[in-house]
Amino acid sequence: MRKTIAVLFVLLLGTMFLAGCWNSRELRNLAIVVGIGIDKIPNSEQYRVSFQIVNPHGASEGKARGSSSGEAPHIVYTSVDYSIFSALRKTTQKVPRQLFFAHAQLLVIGEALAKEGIQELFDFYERSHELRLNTSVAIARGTSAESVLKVLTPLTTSDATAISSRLKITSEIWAHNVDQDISSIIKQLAGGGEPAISGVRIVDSNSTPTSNLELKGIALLSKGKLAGWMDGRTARGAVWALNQMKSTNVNLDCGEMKNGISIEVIRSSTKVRAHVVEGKPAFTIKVKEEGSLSEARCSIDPGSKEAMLKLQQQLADETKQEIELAVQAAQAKKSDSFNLWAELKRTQPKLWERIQKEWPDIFAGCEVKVEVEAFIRRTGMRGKTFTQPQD
Amino acid sequence: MSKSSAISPTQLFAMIILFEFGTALVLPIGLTSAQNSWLSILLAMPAGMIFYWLLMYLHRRYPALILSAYIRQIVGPYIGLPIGLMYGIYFMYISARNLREAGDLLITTSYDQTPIVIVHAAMIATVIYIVHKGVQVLFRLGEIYIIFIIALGLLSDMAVLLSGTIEIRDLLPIWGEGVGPTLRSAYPNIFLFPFAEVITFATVLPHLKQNQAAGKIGMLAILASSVMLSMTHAIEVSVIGKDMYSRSTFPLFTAITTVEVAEFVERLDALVILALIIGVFFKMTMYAYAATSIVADVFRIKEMKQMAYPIGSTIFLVSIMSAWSFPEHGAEGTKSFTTIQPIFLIYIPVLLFVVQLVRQKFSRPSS
Amino acid sequence: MFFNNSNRSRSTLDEHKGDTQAAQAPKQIAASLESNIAYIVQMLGDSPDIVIRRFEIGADKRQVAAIYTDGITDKQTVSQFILQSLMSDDSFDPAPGQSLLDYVLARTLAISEICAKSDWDGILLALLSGDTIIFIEGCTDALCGDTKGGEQRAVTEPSTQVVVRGPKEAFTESIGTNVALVRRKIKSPNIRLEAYKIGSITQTNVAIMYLEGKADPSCVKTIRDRIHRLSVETLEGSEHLEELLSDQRKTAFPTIMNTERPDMVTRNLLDGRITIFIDGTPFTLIAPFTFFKGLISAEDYYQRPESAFAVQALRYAALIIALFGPSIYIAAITFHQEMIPTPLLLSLASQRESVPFPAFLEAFLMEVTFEVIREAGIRMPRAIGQAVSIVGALVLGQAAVEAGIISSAMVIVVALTGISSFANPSYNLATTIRIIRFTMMVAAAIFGFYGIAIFSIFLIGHMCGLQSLGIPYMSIRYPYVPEEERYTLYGLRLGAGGTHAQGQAAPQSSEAPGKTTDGSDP
Repeated sequence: MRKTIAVLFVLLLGTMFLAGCWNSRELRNLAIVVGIGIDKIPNSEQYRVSFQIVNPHGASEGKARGSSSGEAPHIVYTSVDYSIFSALRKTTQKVPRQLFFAHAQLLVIGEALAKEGIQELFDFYERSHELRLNTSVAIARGTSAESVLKVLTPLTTSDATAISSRLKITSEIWAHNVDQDISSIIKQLAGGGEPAISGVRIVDSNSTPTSNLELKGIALLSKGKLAGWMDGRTARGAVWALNQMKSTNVNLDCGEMKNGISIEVIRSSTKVRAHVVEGKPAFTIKVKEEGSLSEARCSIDPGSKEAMLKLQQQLADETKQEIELAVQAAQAKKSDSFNLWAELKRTQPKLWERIQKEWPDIFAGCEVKVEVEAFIRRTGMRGKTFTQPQD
Repeated sequence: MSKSSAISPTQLFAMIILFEFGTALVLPIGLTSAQNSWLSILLAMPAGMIFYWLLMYLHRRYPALILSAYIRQIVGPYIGLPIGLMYGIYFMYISARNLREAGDLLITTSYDQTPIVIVHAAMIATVIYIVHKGVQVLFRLGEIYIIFIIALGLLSDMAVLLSGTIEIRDLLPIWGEGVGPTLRSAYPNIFLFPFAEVITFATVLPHLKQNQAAGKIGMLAILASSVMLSMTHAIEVSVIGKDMYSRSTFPLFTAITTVEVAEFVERLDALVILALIIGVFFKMTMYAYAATSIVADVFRIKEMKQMAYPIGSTIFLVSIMSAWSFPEHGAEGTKSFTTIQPIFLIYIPVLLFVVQLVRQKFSRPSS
Repeated sequence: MFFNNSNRSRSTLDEHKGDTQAAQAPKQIAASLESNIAYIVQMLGDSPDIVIRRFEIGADKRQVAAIYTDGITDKQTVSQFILQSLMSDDSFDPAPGQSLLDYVLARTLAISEICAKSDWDGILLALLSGDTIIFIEGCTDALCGDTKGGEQRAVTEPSTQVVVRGPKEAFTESIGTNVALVRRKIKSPNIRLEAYKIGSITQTNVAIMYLEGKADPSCVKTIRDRIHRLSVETLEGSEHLEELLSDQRKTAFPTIMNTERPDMVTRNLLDGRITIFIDGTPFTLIAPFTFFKGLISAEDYYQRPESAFAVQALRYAALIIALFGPSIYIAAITFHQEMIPTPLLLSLASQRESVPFPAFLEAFLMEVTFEVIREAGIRMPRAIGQAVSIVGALVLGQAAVEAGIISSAMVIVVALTGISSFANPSYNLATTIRIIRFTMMVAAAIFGFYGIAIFSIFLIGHMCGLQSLGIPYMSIRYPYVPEEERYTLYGLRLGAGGTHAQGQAAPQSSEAPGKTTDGSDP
């Protein structure tokens, strides 16, 4: 009797296997999405979502490149619907395979959509178990996200990968852009501040397919809506303020020659302090950085102490200016893109509770002091320049 | 050599840790205290230890009896029998709850198309098998898997550390909203889950080889597991931020997905899923075994193994029928914190303790 | 040899009494020489290799016959010590009261081992074991002289468990030689040897050896009882006995170890285990056996403990690869594509574009092919054996990839898995792992990582429930050596050891790292 029960039990369990496997997906049936672009249809509530999919035939790094001649390394599909998830599923009408998102590297937001606000876009990312929270984000500048995704780039299999790796690299060595991923954006949006997102631009959009993409500028958002852009020195100031500065090259004046000396910033750390002045919040941004002399187009003798001190001071001033530019630009747009709210919340939680709702306005008016301490540690392989000082 | 059902202190240590980890490792147990969840865990630990001491006290009075048996001894058979039976049912319910949690989490993260029946069936089959084999096999299994879980934990911690995603500042402020929320989540929530759940071990202690060591070993295990839990939750909060932590269904998983070291070591989700499966398995099996033990004792069944199948099937069915959606399951859990869990985990044990003390006081003058 | 006097002689020829003339079969020999000889001829079916040498001894020309089985006796012994000594002595002069037999026994036969028997069972058994039986006309006892010999294999190198550094001798098929090889290594008086005959037809000699004082008496008793309870007709080889003596039958895992190396036997005897020798096979059984012991090879005892430990860790890694390799691949490719790093995934995707099979089928086919190649390689004549494996591996694999039937990643996985399964020092454990690997692949194909995890729990739970002679199969720290007060971790003695005879203090060596002596039993 016991044996029959056991056998029945096992048989019952065995029926599990008969029904098939529900979650198994063959690689052949997957379309691997590496980039997602979201645009808004003008005058409508619908999103236009684009998916950049890797073409597996042309994608293998190991095989000879271009063996299947003329095949594009990636393909872009678009669909229109009220929600991102619907658009995603709708795309299956066009794509012969099932879309697979776990490897999406980049999210591009169209500028028009960014102007209307980006807050609603991220719940889908949070809730899904396939999408990764460390996907890079960029805002398409002067164009739509779809066009950005459609651009082909050399040297990589897909430009979504290209952009995201570019973001990573350039934010670390040129520092005019930031590499923000979705989790930090959500942290910002949920907390009361604004995320700072890099912009991407198409250069020379006339000749396809070899048009090129360029990362340009940092977006200023106010209440989740695109309010303006920071470019050039302002953008770099923002990177400093965000404590994301890893390395960059600063041009300083040398005597009469403008931008004659270049200092490579090697290390930089920023600390933000919040205090209350007359019931209103005030911040001090303290930067401490180190650099080394990278290029001197005028003649300079680093051996002399005054020359070096002067250079250091110049570097500090330049940094301070850039940060101040960034802060002013942000305050003009009521956009706390520098995480100042987090510092305030941590040190003055009661004050934060009170002013949280009007933070963008208060931020625009609060006092921000910048203090920079710069050191120049090394001068490279040479000391004194070989050019003679011009008299 | 080992007798037919004897457990070594090391095995008890390993099992208690695995049991405590259970689902507590992956769920946001410090929901209400957000960034102070690690602190809440540590605050709840002393109560856990006191509770364990209470169990040890009762065990020392009746070293060869399991929970339901000594309940009958303490309060008499007429009250004791129903109470013991209720404990059996309670354990089955909790086992089913754990199964449901694990099943839902697995489906949410990886197996979204698979019917829940199948996921549960696979787990329950193994649980039944192990309970059927007996307590010694279960504990030996624990001895082997504890090494595995510790290794998994170390690996993931190292990966998180190396990836640089930890922001210690996210753990501050500690006293931002006062001590209130922290304590409130410690008592009764964290105390009840996972600490007071060690009551299930009251059905296993009689099998222990060296009784004296049980007290120390248990305390040590509770200490170790709470430290590790606290650390894990601290890491979770510092990686994903307190806001996301309190909104997450599976914060450890979310935290691990952000880890990326040297561009190759990424996507360590598998480790977390493995930790969940192992933790839930041991917790469920422990509860199932406790329930089987109690039922066999209450109904005077000699062969405990036979009860494994019916109890396992019951747990399976309950886990599916208990709630029709995951939020409802969570709501039920929260409600149970204030209603039935305190009864079984606080009131009755304290009552037993008091009655036992009183009996002893009265029996001493007469003897 | 001493097997003639086996103290617990098992299953006699009783079962076969029924075959022959049931009514008449005499139990004792007759006094008439001719009738005895006739009886033997009849019982053995007039077999041509039974030699009957008749002669006369003594002054009164008593008829004597010496009967032996050609081939299993040492002819020289027979002719020299029996025939010669019997026939050369003319003056048979028994003392008054002493029978001729006793005289012959006491004075004449210069053979080292001899006894007198009168029951047919014993005589026939002795005759078929290689003894020479001497019948004397008029005596109701026969003499059985030990003349066992014949062609046997010499002691050579082991064929399966090879080590780099260490003795290179292996057991042979003769149980006497094997026991002798072990005796040479442990010259302790505490070695205990118990002999049995198992199998009513084959009457195979089986001996148990253990070191008194180190071996657990309950284990010895268990083995003894189990052997006593056996009632089989035949015993062929060590595998058969292993099956018969195992604790549980319904498992794929071996619970008794086998080896053909005397040094492994020595090491295990000193650890307190029990060895079983079986006549006719060079593989001896060692019990009890824990899972972790299966990953220790003889090599580990001849290298430094640190390097042995590292190699052992490597073996564990190989075990995990051998068991989980294809399953993890299948699970990752089919269910959990998000676990694979993006560049790798893209590469795999492009590889699998042309493969027509689902991943599980592909893996299954490749694994089966690998097993077939391996199996064929064992049976190939040595000349083409090498060629076949190279052909099999390279050509088949490469051709399959080029034809687009298999993806190259799969070939890599299968090759790696196959090779890892050979890193296991215990052959029967390796076979078990190989079989389980297939089941694990099925679990992975159905449920992905969840399936692998659940099945592993099931598997390890099953292993935890196994016992070998009452010792838990998954004991991590066994045996416990009291005089050193330390455990051997995973069965491997860390730190300096040395051969310990009973009573000798162990040299105080450095404590190996990470061990505790909390006295807890495994």
